[in-house]
Amino acid sequence: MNKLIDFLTGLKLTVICLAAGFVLVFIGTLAQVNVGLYDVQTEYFRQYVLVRPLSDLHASWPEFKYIFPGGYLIGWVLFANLVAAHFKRFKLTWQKSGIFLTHIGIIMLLLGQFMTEMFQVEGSMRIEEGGSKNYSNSHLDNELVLIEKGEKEDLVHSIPEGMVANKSEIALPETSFTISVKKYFKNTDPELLFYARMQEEDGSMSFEDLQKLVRDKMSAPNGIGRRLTVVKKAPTAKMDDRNIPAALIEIKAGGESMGEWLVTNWAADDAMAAFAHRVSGNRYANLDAPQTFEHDGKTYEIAMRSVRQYKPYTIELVDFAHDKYQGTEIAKNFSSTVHLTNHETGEERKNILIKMNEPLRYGGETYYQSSFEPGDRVTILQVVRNPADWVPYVSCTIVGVGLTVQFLLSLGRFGKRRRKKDSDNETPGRKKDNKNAGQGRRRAAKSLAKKPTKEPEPAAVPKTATGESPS
Amino acid sequence: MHNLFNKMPHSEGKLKFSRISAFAAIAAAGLLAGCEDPGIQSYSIPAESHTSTAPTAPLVSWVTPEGWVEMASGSAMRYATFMIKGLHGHNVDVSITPLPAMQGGELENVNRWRGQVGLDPIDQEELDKQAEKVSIGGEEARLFDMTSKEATIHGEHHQRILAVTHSMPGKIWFFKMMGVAETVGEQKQAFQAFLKSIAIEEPEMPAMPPSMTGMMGSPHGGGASAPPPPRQDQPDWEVPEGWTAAEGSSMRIATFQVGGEDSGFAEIAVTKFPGSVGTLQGNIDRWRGQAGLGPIQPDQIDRYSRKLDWEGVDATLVDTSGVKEGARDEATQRLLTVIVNKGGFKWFFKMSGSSELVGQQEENLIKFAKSAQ
Repeated sequence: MNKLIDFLTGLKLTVICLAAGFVLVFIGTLAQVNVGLYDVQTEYFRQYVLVRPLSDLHASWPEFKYIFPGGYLIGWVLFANLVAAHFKRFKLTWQKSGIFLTHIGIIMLLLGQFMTEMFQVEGSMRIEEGGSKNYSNSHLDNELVLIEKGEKEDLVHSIPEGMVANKSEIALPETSFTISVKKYFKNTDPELLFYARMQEEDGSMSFEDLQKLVRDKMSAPNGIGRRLTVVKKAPTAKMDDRNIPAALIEIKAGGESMGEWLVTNWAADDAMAAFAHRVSGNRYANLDAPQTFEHDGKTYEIAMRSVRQYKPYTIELVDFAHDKYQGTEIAKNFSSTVHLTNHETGEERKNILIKMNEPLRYGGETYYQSSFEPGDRVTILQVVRNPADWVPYVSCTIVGVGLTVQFLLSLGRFGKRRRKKDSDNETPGRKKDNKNAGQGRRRAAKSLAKKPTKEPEPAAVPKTATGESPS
Repeated sequence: MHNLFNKMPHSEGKLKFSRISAFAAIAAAGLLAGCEDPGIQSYSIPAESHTSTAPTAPLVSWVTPEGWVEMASGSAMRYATFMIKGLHGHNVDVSITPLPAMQGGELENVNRWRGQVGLDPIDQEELDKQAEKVSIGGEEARLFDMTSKEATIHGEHHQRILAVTHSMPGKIWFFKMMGVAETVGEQKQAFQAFLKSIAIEEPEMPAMPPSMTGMMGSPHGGGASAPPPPRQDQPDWEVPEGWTAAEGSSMRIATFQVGGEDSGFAEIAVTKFPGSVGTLQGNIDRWRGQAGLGPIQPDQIDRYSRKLDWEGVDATLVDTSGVKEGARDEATQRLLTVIVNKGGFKWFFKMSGSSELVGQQEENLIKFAKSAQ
């Protein structure tokens, strides 16, 4: 048992974890080229154990799957090892209270990062001048929604994209609806946009050549599918791009078909619809008009869209300003003036100015000025909810205090020694003793350096680890 | 020495162990948190209504027949263009074109198409005889089927046109299929099914501030057939012959186009800025920069600009030429700008386009800018 505890608290485990961390960062970096940043983050780092094909690392390597500890596993083991080692070896004395505080601060910083990883929700809010929003959109996650329209409230049934991708029949619990997925593309372009992009990349292409690039496409006999055909595209792994999924679905209510529909973010997210309109003109005007059908006297809406995070308050964009340096196109400042209305508390805040480095903090969320659309009428705010956002401030303060305390203690000791030395100089009779004591210290230090002790200088352990931790 | 832990030496080992298990518990909690699997969720929200702007152009929808590919029109007149892979490597083109109602009667149009395939014109009686009944979104319409007598495509194949006109208040919609006769024949049924599936949703024309029209693309669906209304701050100027008003960005007071596919193409943009917008050299350098050219020396200003001799008006003509960045054919581009200082504003009359055409239009640009004073 003691051996096990020794191993768990030992430096060996630290080194193993750090080495595994190095390897993980290395293979993660390689895989990023083929898999993409976001997928690497989820598949390699936000994992306890990863089982991935070798082809991730190099496209020409086989599909053979290998197993490796993931980022979470390495991080937690390292964390537990460091903390345990700290408590096992570190003797809390006033002399070392500064170091202790510093370490507590660093441990908190690590824990705070874990909390951010786990609980942070990020999204964006796109608002047109004069318009308002009570939800933000996720950057990466999409949902298929079936909404039962009501007079005062809408009932939203949200199906994650992963389910649409993997299942052919989805029964909605507590309703009579079944959705069968006829086709699903992970990434798409509207047909006109697809050809335009191809032409742009390759100069002038013939109709035949363009056609060769189309692997599959879909439209539908109802709703937006009558105006929009989407073409299948290779899923993207780029950081500045995102996958826009589409699906051809048939809705059945108690066995009766409600028809086939095309659902895609192109026709549900106002940002995508506005982009398609801007780039391809009036053929793609109003793509985001809702697709509805009637059943049993009720109206239902269906859509594939980026996941929405609803808020109990509404943000209205009064004005978006894009100031440029006079006579140039160089941006000087971006800002949004917004009204905020909280429907639960009745609180109203008028004319809040959100600037590039002056975000709005409200209801546990932070709104940053992140982007805008051409024409300067549409603002895009980044919305971040991070319950652990205070941790770095507190832990840095603790580290600061710890370092100061340690410095002052050392200063005190130094001053004491100095005074002692001065008084020793005044009394030459005691000088010899002092010299001997100094030699003794030096000898002890020498032997420590020569012989690796079982218990290394405890302060050194967390220091290395915090510097190199992959988390 | 105050060692806090030394105060309880007997419990020390135990304490350490219980701490370790506490951390194990935290780690386990982390494990669980990472394993949540999102399923179907249901929740209520305040009733939402769609807030996007009302359509400013007609929205036409249809069911696309198998094998039809929608392509960018290449013509501002068209609403949509489809291509169909045809026999002998000749593709068939299908188009939807809305035109103002005054664009000729049915007979006139049919005779124009007949002319395109080398057929003689017909009279009204013959027209009624040739008309085939089809349905456009449930409404009756007349389809005309015309095949060339001669093999007009590369002297080997006959050309065939299927065309329908559909009148709506203030507008005629043309639906036309044209191409190598065999493929058009094969696609005739698909074309009829396509016509049947058509639905046209006319917009309610909202009263829009003139400044908005520039941002919304072409608000008139018909594109070139209806030029944008002039902005309120446009002066009374004389637009030279051959220039057509076009859509521009909201920054611009006006945009014109001149030329065509054969003679080259140029665009004229009029903008106005308050105060002194950069120095003359700053502007020259900026425009040269856009064309991929380096800045000039102060003593070279005269080489690139000349004062215009207008009575009492401070006007300068600036000439910057170069290869436009990103131009596909690397065609030499030329940029001519008349800068006018007037009433605390700087007006820019910028003409950019193919070198030759811009050269030909230089006098027109100067006259135009002068007429605005």
